[in-house]
Amino acid sequence: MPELYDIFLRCQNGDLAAFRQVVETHQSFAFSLALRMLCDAEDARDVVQESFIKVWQNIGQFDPNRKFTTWLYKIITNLCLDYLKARKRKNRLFSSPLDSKVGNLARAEVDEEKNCMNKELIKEIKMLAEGLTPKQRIVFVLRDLQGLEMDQVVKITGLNKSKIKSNLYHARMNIRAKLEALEKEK
Amino acid sequence: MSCKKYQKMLFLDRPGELSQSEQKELQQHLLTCTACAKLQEKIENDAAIIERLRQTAVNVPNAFQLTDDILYSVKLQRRALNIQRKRWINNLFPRFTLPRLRFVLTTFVVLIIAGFLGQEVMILGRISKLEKQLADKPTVQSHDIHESAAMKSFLKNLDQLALVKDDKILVNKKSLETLLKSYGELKMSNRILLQYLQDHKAEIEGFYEKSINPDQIEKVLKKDKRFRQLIRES
Ligand SMILES: [Zn+2]
Repeated sequence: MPELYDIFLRCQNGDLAAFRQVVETHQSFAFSLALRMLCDAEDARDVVQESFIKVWQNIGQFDPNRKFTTWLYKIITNLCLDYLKARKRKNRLFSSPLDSKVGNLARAEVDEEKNCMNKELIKEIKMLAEGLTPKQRIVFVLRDLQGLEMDQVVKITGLNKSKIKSNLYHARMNIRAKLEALEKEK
Repeated sequence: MSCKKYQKMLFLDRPGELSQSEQKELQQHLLTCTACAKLQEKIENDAAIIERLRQTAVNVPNAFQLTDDILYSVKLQRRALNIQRKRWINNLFPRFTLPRLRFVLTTFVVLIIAGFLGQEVMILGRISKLEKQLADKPTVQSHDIHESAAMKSFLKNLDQLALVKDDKILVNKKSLETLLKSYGELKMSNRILLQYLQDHKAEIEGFYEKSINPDQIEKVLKKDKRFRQLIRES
């Protein structure tokens, strides 16, 4: 920990080598979170990049005594929420149900080709989280796919406990319905 | 009792989500309700699937490239910020450091100088115009009567040299100086002007400066015999 404290102090003095260390240490975690939220490797990459730029821009306001990951979680979550909302708006505006199905299929194929690494995981999360509202999705990922404590989710999302519970309930119920449908297919 | 309430509780049956009393209530209901117990089992299966996804590691494709991209963006940002900061400093002290403002200052000074020169040229032009106008007039040596006529005509043109303002006569200092300097060669009509100025010195103001004062003019005029004569005659 004192080592990390030192690194952040160096970042605050504009040391790019120290910042590189921060990125190298946390980018895997950041990408994993963004990918689980967005289910799109390209978007996740963009979010990670934007997040670290935000970190650099606001590093002066960061208290090195506090937990860096909570702060990073917050930045990534907010950016992902923006992405999800934009995606929702775009889908609503530009595509008929048929178009969107074709588009999603084509897109999914491209994604899979590009990123064989996380292919199965993306596919499964995508299937489960489809149809969730951006907030339900965010809360579900933080709580169930990242395994965060309730208090942490409160801190990161800025939502109160009852809102988080309500979003969680709807998300899990939605997922249950999907898995139920899958079971019946078999 | 409706099962709906307990179904909702079942979806939130994780550490930190239900209160202790809610948990107790749910457990008691599950003992008696097979439908809810069945749902609990299914939810637990779902949770297991989700837990498996939670434990699945995510790999960062082209991780090195990602790090480089991030650092490159940050460097670009930093450069842009530095440029902005420099601009900000320039905005603080622009009047003295910016070439454009130096240009504006120079132009200002040049315009002022040009204004002065222009004024000079105009005054000299007026004087030479006056001299030309008066060149044809008869001189005091030949016809004293004509001289007083010349004086009258000269007074008409007086406003070209002297300005009447609020009933006071203002004479251009530079013009007067020129006249005095060339006193020896002056045409009579201009000497008449000097006399006129002398006569009206009480009304004349704002033009004589240290070196040229009414007394000086008077002295110069009194030295000239012909002028004295002219004064007597007119
Ligand atoms: Zn029941």
